[in-house]
Amino acid sequence: MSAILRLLFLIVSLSPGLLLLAWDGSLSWTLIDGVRLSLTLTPLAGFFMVLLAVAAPLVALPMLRRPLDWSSLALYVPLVLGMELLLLAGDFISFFIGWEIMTWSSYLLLLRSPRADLETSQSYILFNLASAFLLLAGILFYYSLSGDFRIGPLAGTTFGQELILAVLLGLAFLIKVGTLPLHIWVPSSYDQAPDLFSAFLSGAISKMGVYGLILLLTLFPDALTSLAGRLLEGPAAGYLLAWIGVVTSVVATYKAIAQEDMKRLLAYSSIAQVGYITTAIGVGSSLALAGALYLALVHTLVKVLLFISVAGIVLQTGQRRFKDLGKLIERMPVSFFGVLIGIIGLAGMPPLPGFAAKYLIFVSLVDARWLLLLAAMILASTAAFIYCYKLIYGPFLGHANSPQAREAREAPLIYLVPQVILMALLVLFGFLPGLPVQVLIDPVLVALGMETIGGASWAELTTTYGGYDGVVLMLVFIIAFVLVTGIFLLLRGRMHRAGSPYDLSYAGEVPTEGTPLHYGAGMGRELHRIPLVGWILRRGTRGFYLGLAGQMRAAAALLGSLYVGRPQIWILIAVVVFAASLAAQSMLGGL
Amino acid sequence: MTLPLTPVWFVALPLLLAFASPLWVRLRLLMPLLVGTPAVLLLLALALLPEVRIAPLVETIVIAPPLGIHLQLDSASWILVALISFTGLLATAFIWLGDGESYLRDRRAFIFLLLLIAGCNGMVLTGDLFNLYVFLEISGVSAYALSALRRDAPALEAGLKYLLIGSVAAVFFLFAVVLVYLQIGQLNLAAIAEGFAGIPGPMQILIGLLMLVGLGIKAELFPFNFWVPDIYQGSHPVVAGLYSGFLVKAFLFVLFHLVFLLLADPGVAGAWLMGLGAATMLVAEVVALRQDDMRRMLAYSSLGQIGLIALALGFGAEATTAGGLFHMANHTLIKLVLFLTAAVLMRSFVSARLADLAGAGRARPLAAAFFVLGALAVMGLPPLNGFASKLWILKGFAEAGVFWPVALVLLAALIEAGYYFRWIKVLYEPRADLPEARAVERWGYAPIAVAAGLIVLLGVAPFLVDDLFIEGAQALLDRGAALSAVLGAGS
Repeated sequence: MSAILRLLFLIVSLSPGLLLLAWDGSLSWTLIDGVRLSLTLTPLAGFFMVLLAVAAPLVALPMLRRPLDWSSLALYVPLVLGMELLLLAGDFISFFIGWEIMTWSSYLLLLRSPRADLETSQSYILFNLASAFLLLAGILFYYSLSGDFRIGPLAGTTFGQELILAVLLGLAFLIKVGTLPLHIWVPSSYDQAPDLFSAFLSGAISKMGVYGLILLLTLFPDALTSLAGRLLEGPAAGYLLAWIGVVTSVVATYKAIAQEDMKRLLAYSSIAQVGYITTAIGVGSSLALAGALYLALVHTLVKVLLFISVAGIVLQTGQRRFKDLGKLIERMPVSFFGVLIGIIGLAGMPPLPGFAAKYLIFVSLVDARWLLLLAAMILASTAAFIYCYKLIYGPFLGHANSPQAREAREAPLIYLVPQVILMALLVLFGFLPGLPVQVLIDPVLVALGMETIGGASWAELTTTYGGYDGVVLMLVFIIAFVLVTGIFLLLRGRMHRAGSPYDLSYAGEVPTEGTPLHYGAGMGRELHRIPLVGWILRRGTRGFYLGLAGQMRAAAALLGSLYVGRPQIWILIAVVVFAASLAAQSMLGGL
Repeated sequence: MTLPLTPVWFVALPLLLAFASPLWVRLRLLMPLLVGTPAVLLLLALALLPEVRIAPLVETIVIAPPLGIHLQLDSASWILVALISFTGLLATAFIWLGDGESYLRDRRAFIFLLLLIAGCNGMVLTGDLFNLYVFLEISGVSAYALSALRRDAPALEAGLKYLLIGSVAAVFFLFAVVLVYLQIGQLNLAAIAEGFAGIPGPMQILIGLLMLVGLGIKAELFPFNFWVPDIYQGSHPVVAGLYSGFLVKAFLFVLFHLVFLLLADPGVAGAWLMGLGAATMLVAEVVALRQDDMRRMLAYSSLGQIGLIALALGFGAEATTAGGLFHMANHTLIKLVLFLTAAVLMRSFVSARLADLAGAGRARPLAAAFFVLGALAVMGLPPLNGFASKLWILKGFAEAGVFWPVALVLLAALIEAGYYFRWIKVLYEPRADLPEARAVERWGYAPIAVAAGLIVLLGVAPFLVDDLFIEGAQALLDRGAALSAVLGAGS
């Protein structure tokens, strides 16, 4: 019985992939009078289905570790099916149904974590439902314009109508992707969610917001340009979106550096990465969209890899803060390589495909002549190196700072399999950066009516501003890596190794047990002293939202005082209202 | 001899059985008959459905129209009758199978439950204003008594309070009936509808306001609904489920039935009711944020949904009316699940307070799962039935290009999520010391499971029943057809 159920679970998790292979044609039926659901697979949705097809089974596999949490497995099923429905939707109602199923099932999955507190779970569900209800409002407005729920370009609308639609739907999707200042629910929920589920939240669910944003552009005849004309070489309406994205990236990057906890760091890093994607969508050219899609792909691979690796570390040590870990490189070598490959992809360093994605976005910004944005984005993506470094140094290098870290063993095989698969994919795309472009991205661009950017071969990434050959680049890096590692290993024998972390002294003082010696301890604290950065780090929107919640509760208390338990007051109010309306009517109409 | 299948049985059967109750005690048939009566009524409703869909069934007792007692079963009142019978069936099945409190299982409870069903059926079926008043009193009196059944201080207090406010409502309504009779000299609703336009304007307004206050108190509209939380909290959750399930729906239906029947142009009255509905919905949802007792929270949530239904019906477009009727049915199913679950939780943990139920999801996983299902459905999340009906209502507003109700409904749903998800979170609170749970009869879950199954079924496949609600909406809105059915063509 248990085996059959687990098999079913795996089949469901594989279903996005099976759907991609097997789906052709379309399906449609009537839900209620005048609401017709229809399912088709557009190339754009197909791209995001690929992301889901990668993330869903790779996250599902480690979930099968014993002891099984049947509730989580059961909730994962509607989650994946809901997301499939969302992507297959040919009309907005099925899109919304999928969106909502995704929302509530992910919320219930979040509750499976014993660490989830009331504030986090409430902020998760309320922001996501606010997003959903804005979406529904936008859908109903769309319906009143077009008379149909089918997703397709609008015609004959006024500027005001387009603006209302863009604001309603745009806000809905921006909440989902978690851009500033609507990101407040992201870090705490990614942090407190069950460790494996965080991978899915970051890798797959946040991408649905990206899908929505791109879908929103397809509703308007000439995408962003039609809204407010052009600015420099790009669409003016997108300029705003691009700045939202870049500000999000910059702030989230600094916040990430200042984190002391692995999962919170990854959460802020997710916000930053999705910020880049938002920027690229704002640019809206074919290069930029290709960059956005490419980065979405890389981010899914990288974040699923990193979150699973971190989940393995947390599973084996029970620690999630940098200062409680260290020296796991010898005890968890596979996880070390997982994180290493992950951060190289995350930072967008060559030779891994993260570089290709960021390169496309940078080039598109140059192409649009939005150089200020380019500068801000380069600032964010350079600062990202610091948190990437922290992520590898904190857990794996230095000295082990807790008994658990000293005795940890490699993560179980069921955690390592997805890591190895993801590493292989990342390296493959490093060799062949043109492969995702030609196979996955170009069909989307064709469907959106844009020019394709694929090069001559899979190994090449080409733009009008130049490109590179992945195989050559990769080989150069591998040779350099082998050489440096070889020299290091040769020389290591002669290097002095400290016997214990206290085997040093500084300024004449010998450190004690209480001295935080770990490199990760307090890292990022100095950032608070940099003028602008410190200001950013001290600000937060949490107070605003807590204040809003407090105001709601105060209003509830005020209105609740009407509901007193005294019948004479009820009767009095009824009579007074009756008399007052009668009086009002007599004054207006003349009794 | 064959008994004719006519609408009169919806009133007569429960009345007769209730008055013969000493016999059933002696024969030990009390519980089977309690469950059997609504079941038979449901079967009767289903048997009559094909006829009703062709033409409304009008039954006149005693004298020829316009003098006599009329019962009129059209597509709209059929929905209510079926709903009342079905809700009655599930609630009584819960009382029987759940093996719960003895005071719900004795003769008095039997009488009052059946009288409540008879009264509500009578209210939605009657075509006569005075009979409407009589049925309103029957259902009112049985409701007061049901609240006070437990005979301890909170229950008696609830019963007494209910009696006070209910009597005030009845007085307002009776005044309206008297005034109508003085003005028109008729009590048949169709005849009144014909003559209503002839009444002087100020008198129309007075009658309208009297009816609005009288029925507004009963139908729990703001600002006449301050009594609701106290009564729901003091009553047994199953009884509260019946109030929220069909009693208030019957009053709401009567209110809108009168508006659409009496007024040739229901625009102004509809706008007033929409305003009241919107206020009811928003105020109730906001107040519910601070409630720490499950019964009270459910009472406010019920008010919020009533407000939504009033908002939808008041708009008077076909899509919103059909959606509103559908939402009535859906809300009944949902509240039944929630109140019966509350009954299970209360029986298990003695208390219905938030703090005492923390972690209850681990001790009573099935009950907590039903609560989650009901909560998701009441917030209108797909793929559950609350979504289908809300979508229908909102679509109706969007078609008409009216967006303020859409914004209010969505805002209210968001506020609603604020407290329902807080309850869900607390139910699944990880706690070292699980609250001790007293045993509950597992069969008690069966009626909840049936309602839950329907919640999912109607959510996934609302197209199975949407024709019924469209016909219901047409019957409710089509004044001319309703009049000619009673008075004959050419009137």
